[in-house]
Amino acid sequence: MRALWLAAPLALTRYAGVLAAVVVAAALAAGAAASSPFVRAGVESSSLRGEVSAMSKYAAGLSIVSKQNPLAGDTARRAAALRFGRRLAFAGRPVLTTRFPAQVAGADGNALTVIVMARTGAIAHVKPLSGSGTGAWVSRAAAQTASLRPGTTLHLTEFVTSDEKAPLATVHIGHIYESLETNLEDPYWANLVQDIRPPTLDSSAPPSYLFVSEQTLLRLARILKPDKVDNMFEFPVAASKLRYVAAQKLRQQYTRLGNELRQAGSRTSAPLGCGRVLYDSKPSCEVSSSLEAALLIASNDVSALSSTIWLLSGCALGIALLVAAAVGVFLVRRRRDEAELLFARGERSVTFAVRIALECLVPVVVGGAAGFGIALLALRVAAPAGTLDSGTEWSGVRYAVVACAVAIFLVALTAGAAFPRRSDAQHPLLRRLRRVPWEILPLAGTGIVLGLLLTGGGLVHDASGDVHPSLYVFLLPVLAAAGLGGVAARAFRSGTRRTPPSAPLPLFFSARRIAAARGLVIAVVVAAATSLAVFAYATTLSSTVSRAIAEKAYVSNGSDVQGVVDPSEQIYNHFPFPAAIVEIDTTNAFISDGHSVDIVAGDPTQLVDVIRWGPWSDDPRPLIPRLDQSAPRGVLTAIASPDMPDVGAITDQGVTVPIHIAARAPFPGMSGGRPALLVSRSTLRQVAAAHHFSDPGFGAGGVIWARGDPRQIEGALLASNIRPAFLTTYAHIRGDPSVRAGKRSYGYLRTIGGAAVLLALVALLLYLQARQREQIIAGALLRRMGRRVSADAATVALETAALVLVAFIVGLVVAVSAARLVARHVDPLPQYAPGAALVAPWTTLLVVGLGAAVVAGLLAAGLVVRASRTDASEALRVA
Amino acid sequence: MLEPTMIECRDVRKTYASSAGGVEALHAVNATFLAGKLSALVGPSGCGKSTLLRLLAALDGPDSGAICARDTDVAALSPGALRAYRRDVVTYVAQRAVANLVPHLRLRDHFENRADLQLLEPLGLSSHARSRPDQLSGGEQARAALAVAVARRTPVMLLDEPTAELDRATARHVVEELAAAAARGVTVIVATHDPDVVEQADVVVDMTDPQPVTDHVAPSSPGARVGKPLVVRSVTKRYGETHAVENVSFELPAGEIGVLLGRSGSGKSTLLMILGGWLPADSGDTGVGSTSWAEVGYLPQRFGLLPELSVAENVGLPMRIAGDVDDERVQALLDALGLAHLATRLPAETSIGQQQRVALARALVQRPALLLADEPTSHQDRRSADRVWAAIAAAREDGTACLVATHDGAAAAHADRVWEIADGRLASGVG
Repeated sequence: MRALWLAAPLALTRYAGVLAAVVVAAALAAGAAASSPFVRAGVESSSLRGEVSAMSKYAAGLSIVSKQNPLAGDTARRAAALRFGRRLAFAGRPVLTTRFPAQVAGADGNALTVIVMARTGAIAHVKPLSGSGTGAWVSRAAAQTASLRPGTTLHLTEFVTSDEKAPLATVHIGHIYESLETNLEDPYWANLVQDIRPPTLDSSAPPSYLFVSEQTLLRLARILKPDKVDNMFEFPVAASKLRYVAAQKLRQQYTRLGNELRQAGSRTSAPLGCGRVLYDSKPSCEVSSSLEAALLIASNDVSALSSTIWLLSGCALGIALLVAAAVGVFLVRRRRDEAELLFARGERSVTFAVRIALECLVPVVVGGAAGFGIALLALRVAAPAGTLDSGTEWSGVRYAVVACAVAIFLVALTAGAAFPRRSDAQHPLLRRLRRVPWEILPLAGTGIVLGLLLTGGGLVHDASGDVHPSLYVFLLPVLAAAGLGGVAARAFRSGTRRTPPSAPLPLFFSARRIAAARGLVIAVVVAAATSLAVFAYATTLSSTVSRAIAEKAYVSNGSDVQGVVDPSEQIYNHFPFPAAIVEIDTTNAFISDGHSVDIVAGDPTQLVDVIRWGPWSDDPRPLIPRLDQSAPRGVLTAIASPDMPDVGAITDQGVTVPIHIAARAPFPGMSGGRPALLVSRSTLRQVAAAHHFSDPGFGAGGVIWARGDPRQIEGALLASNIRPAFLTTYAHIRGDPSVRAGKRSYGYLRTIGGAAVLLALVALLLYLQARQREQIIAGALLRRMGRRVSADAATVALETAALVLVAFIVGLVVAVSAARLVARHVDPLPQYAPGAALVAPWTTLLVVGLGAAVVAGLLAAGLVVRASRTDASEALRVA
Repeated sequence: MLEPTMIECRDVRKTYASSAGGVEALHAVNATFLAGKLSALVGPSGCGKSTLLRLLAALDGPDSGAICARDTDVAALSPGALRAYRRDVVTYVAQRAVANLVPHLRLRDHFENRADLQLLEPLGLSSHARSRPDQLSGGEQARAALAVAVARRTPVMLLDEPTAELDRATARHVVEELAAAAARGVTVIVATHDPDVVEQADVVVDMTDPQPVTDHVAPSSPGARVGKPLVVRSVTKRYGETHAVENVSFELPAGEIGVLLGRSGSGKSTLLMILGGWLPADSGDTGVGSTSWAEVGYLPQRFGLLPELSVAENVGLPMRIAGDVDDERVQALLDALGLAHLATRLPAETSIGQQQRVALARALVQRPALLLADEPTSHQDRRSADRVWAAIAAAREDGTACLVATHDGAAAAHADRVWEIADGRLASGVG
């Protein structure tokens, strides 16, 4: 019929429900598809900003170190540097430094070198200890060595001299500041870290800085006549305005300017003292920036997040396309008479589908534009300013157009599939296949995915070496819940069919309705079960990972701060925090089967005070006093790690040592996959003496565990006599990129699951609303029979809540079972002990599940009440 | 001269699946439809008339047997040939008139050839050419569907109950058109229970099951009640300028059957809805107090059966809600209305005529003081219609005042009182 084709572009305006569904599906599809490049761009920019912030704007900016410059041109070079900075994009306030080394005269016979430094804003970035007014700023170390106090005078001489008549310069000491080594977290010092910190643990401390004004520096230099002075010009990047695309351009500018600065005699290089070659053939200028590294890390971050972004947008796109597919079926159901008529007139299903595609064209364009606009707007609001460039926008447009085209295709495809056909038109094989329960497919998929997970497919490594949950981790609950949801729905319907007619009316009606439920309700229940399973699964895994990481952090870190020390060290002075030095021997002890066992030895009294533990049942602290229990001489009393075999002796340094396992528990100092014993250090010493082996054994290490505010402890430890190396805190483990990636993935998954739960509930309510509209006459007649609206509402509420509860129970069982199976296989830090154990947040899950059932029931009851207010006479009237 | 055979059915069988197992809709049907003749398919509702029509239209295939159109076995055709058959050979007109029109097209858009618009004129639809289907009344939709079907000019037309919801005058127009089409050489096959159609038919194919049926068993009446007379005084209802019901007054004593006779749009359904309390009257007194189901049993044209309950559960529902279950009463009504064998089926697994009888049984199950029945036989064959009237008569014996609105003049034979209604006014009354 030609008129059908002519009317097609605007035909859907006559079917408001279908029109709305098509527009929404297109909007979802376009928004989800466009969000992939948009989110990627947003992550790139936010990651870049995070990295720039972490490495400091000074390190990420351009840094020029101009060496061995004549003193005379210093003021001009500083002025030139300021002019140079104005050429740079995204540049903050430049920091200009001039420095030269000098020697402190008369420092009790000890040669003490200081770096005389004039640096923009330096005084604002040190920790003052004493002093006031004007004068130079000297470090605490230098002040102690040279016996300086505020108000005294410092005598300086040439850096390297043996001439007793060398000129002396004096400078008034105004302030003493804390050593910069304790202040390295201040990003201002990022480019000088290598000059502030000793290069190795055994190295002596580098010379400290004597901060003076530029005028004072020039005065001192004129007296001391250093051969040359060094300049350092830092141009920090304005991180708050930076975005990824602009940063890439900025990096190119840095590269170009760096090349110019290396050219001899250029207009750029000469004023800054660059472009020369020094006596050792090295260039006079070093130009550096960590911006490239920040860009690389940001890019790696995006790579690390790619699977999550893919999952997020993929899931959303999948939902959108499923909606589009459902719309095709809905469209035909809504226009069943028309489809039957056209079928009776000999129309092909393909022809019908093509016309449906034409009908959907305008609504899809409108919906797609809206979805794309929303995605764009969301990114503009949520992401850093300037995140999007035209390339990203066009990429989003392309994705959205393709998604919309696929959505139209799916609507048409499913509409064509739902087009009426003769019952004998289907191929006999297909007819037979239709009798096979569909649940077999997802259940088979569940088995395959589970097999892959249990054989090591739970984690994937990205280019940077970090691990992330694999796609199988996310697929498992979806497939399992879909399959089991279908089985449960069948069983539930079968059960409700047996409800006797004598049952109470609400139960009778609810049971009959559920028993008569067809495909659409089953689909909604399965979707709700799957959504709830995904939510519960992600929540459970997230809780499991959080608990495991917290436990690992405490176990591996011992307490709030851990540092590496010599096990024979002792803290001499009063240390203001609870601390314990623990000996860890990972090389000398074995059990009878040849496996090594780690010995962790400490003072039990100190350990009880120092060890940190969360609110978990396997707290080792109450067990530690057992280490002091008397045991036969030569027997080592120990607390064994959970994976320690039940043995009566170990071999330490070739000597068999009987042990008494007083308790089993995880404890700090354990390593992943290795049995360990926690013992009293004094007992170990006695046993070693009794069995004639040395303590500490060769190769044994030591750590100090300290409890309290990590920042203060770090300062105190650095100021103590033991000066531990490699300080780590609880936050270091929790901040591990693999942990963050895992938690982020589960967070996204939980969000998707939660959103899907909402969508499923909305679908269920829409179905109920449609049913109520179809049954207006039946409802009105029921009122006449004496059935009250409230009773009807209670019935529908009971029915709805029962459906949601079935979905919830299936989802919960699937989620917790699946999480129990995979928990150990998705441990983001398997190298740390203890292994991940399932933690199901029952309260949260029950509140969500029962809450969803109650809310759905109440809303369904509301729909009944609303429908009861419809004028039944209109429905009863036959035109 | 012997007329050529257009379509022949040989041992055609068709079974549908239902919640209660397979339902055999057609059992070894043999029939011959002659070219250029008006054939009437008759038989009780549920006997398979509609199913056979769908098979003839190639909308579905038989489980076994052959349907030959001009010596070609339709069931053996390829999918493409089947489509060509549906497109070029047959025109199927579904029972619901509105289902034969595309909702978003105007009436004139349904005609490929503008010249065919003249077909609307004899059917009184010329002024509606620009209307959409939902802007037409039920009768107009039925006539429009017929005009569109005729315009397709296929050699075979298959129509399912084309006059079921039409008043007598409109139905007469439709029948005349069908006869005219047959006279032009079109093979017209009509599934119907309308005696006028049967009278006009050249060939009648009776699909009545030859199995003996226990007939016209009236419901037992151990719980007969003292009925109340229905006294209606000066009831008026207007929609804007339209007088739907105008100053209607009548009395119907308890234990009597009153029939309101009128064409579609005459106001009879509106009057029934006012009496049933579904619509408020602008003025006048209906004399109906409580409209509870136990007092006023109501059979609407759209039946409002609960799809999730079985036939028996639907019938017994009013008693179940009232907490006074009487399975014997339900069973008696099912027996009387020929529904006993359908007791466990869901409504969707029964024919429209059967659903209508289920709704009547539900209206009568509590022995109401007043029964309001809107076109209770519109989907019934003669035999089933007799069952319906018998059930209503039994209710009369129980003391129920039964008011029936219908366009079927034959209803008068069952009535104690008859009123004709036109343009919302009672034209005459027969005491």
